[in-house]
Amino acid sequence: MDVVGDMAQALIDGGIVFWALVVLGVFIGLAVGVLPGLTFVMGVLLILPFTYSMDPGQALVLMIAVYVAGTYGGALTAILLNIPGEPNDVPLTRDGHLMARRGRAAEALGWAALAALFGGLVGWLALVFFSQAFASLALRFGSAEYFAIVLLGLTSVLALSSDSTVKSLIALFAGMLLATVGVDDIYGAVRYDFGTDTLRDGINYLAILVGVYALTEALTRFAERFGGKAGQQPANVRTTMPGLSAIRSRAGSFGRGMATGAFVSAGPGVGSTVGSFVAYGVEKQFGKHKDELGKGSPSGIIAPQAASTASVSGALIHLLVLGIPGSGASAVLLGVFQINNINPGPTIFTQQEELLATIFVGLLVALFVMFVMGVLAAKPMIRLLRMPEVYIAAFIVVFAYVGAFALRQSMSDVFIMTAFGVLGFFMVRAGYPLAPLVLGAILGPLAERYFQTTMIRNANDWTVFFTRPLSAALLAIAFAVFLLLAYRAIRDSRVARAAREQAVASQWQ
Amino acid sequence: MPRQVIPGRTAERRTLPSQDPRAEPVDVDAPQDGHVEVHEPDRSRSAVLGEVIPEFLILAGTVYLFFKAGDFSSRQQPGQLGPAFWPRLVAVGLGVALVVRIVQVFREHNLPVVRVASEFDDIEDDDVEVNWRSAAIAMGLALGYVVATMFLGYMFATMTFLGAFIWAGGQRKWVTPVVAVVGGLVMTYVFVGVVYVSVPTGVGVFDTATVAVYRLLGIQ
Repeated sequence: MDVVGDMAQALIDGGIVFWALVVLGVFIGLAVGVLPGLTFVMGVLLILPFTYSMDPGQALVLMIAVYVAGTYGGALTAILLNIPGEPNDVPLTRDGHLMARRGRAAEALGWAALAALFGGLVGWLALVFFSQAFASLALRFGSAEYFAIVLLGLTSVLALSSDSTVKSLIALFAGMLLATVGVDDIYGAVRYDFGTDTLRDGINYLAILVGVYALTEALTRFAERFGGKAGQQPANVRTTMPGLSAIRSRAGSFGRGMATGAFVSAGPGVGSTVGSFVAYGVEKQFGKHKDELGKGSPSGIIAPQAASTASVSGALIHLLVLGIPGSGASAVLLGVFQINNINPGPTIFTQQEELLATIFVGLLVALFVMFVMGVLAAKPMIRLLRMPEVYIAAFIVVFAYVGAFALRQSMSDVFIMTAFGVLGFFMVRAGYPLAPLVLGAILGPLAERYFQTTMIRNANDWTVFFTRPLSAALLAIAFAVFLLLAYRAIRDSRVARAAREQAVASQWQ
Repeated sequence: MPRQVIPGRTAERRTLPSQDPRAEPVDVDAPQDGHVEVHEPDRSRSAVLGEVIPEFLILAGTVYLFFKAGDFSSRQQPGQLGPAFWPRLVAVGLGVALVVRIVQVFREHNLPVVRVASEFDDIEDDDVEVNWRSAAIAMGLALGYVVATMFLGYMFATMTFLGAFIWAGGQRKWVTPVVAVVGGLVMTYVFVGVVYVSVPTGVGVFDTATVAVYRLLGIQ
């Protein structure tokens, strides 16, 4: 594949429609990033119905533009208003907002814009130049290796969750069990249909995604009567770019953030939020300016923002090379591939070269458009916060309805989406995380397919998972992650016990 | 990063010093990272039962699904694992996790609730009280919207839903009906006329009226 030539051709072939889609996607991404309650996963999901009439390249360019800009849009409100538009913007609030409070808002916005651009570009380079090599390696993978990768993804979801491990585990298994409904694609058996056509067709994971990410949020915000602090407006919104010497002095923060984002998010089940938090932690531990962190340091903006944007490429590598989505947004992208009868995986690099070139050039152009629009359009973006949230919530429900209906032009998916929206509301109230439920529903069927295929091919000899070196290595990593989980649970239990004893002792004093 | 909901969190909250003597606060406004928070527990039996009833119900459902898997018929060859193997494996995992959770709740319900504070808690802790009446209204409207589309058709149901949702959400202004009608028309034009999603047109008079509006909008 002649990457540069193919990308140039894709750019020429795309014409004005390509540019219009990128600008529209970046605008939507920035808007959903700015508006609290609207996440970029939701943004990608809500534009899904618009993509059904597009060709796959156009649809993917639009969605990737939303995805990448969504990782940056929330930085504007995080810095100016101390409102993280997205979960991955939380680490930016400490230093970014402190800088803003001290009259350095323009400088903080400049660092965020630059970090998003650099992080995205390094991630893009990794995507374009390493993914083909990774794909060549992946061609040697059999179903045993794929099963091990999916298992690693499932355990990573638990390990990286900040919620209770047991609750995450329950949500994950529930998602996996729900995904078994419908016709089993190995044996052709109908499972758990209870005599209804709705269930015989299976539960489409996109209907679950739309329900728990979009409808749940709209219901929750309505039930909270749209309370919160989203109406404030900053006095002045301006962006100032740092000078070259200032950039040089923060080169380490850029490097660590970009490396952390690209590396961490390449793991299955890891999204930009984890990348952002890990990058902030790494900066605090090893950064040259680590003592400044938490006191209004540009490094506290650079590292998490660079990691967030770099994570998009990490997720795309995983999706394109292995065909396994590691995050909510990449699961929606997988849905676009599947709707167009394209199976992402190592062979896509030889069978869909034009599509890949369109994706690569789309991401690159989206990064630059995001940078320009982020700098120039920060003020109008912040003004979006003036819009009463109830209007946004109402239209989310309308979009969610069409998003689910258009999956199979069927009311069944709308009912399923609504049921999961309501279920998600109660799960959130009970402290259950939604991400493991969704990833369980996505990765569960893949795990079953690869496991059953391996067992059938090897006459039920389960030792094949351990005799194939790569499969054994991946399973060993998954086991190590599992041990880490157990260690964390025991450590937390000890800390809790010690704290309780201290609390009880203090009552007697 | 979402926080775990802490039972009894409305009760008195105390903060104990960190076990790491080197830890220093970095910002006067920031919560101190690594500090341990202890919450008084909610000791009432009804609260404990209320917390585990959903888990018990899901556990019962899981046990049912485990045995129901025995009814699957397929073209399975002798010696193969069959279509019931995977759902049963997952059901066992879910069942075990639910039992652990139930035991956890019963064991810990009368102990102080402990969590380690994060320095981002003040930013993440944006919990707003849920009004259950509003929650019921929102769910009713969402479900009613889905049912209404089958009878009124997508366009009229969307107009009705938008108006009702925005009105019930507190925007009781003259602009609300305008947003509802214009929003319904725009959504219909975009999804039916541009994206070609064949949303329901309703029954009887609503079907006739929807088709008439489609013609006016130039939708074929």
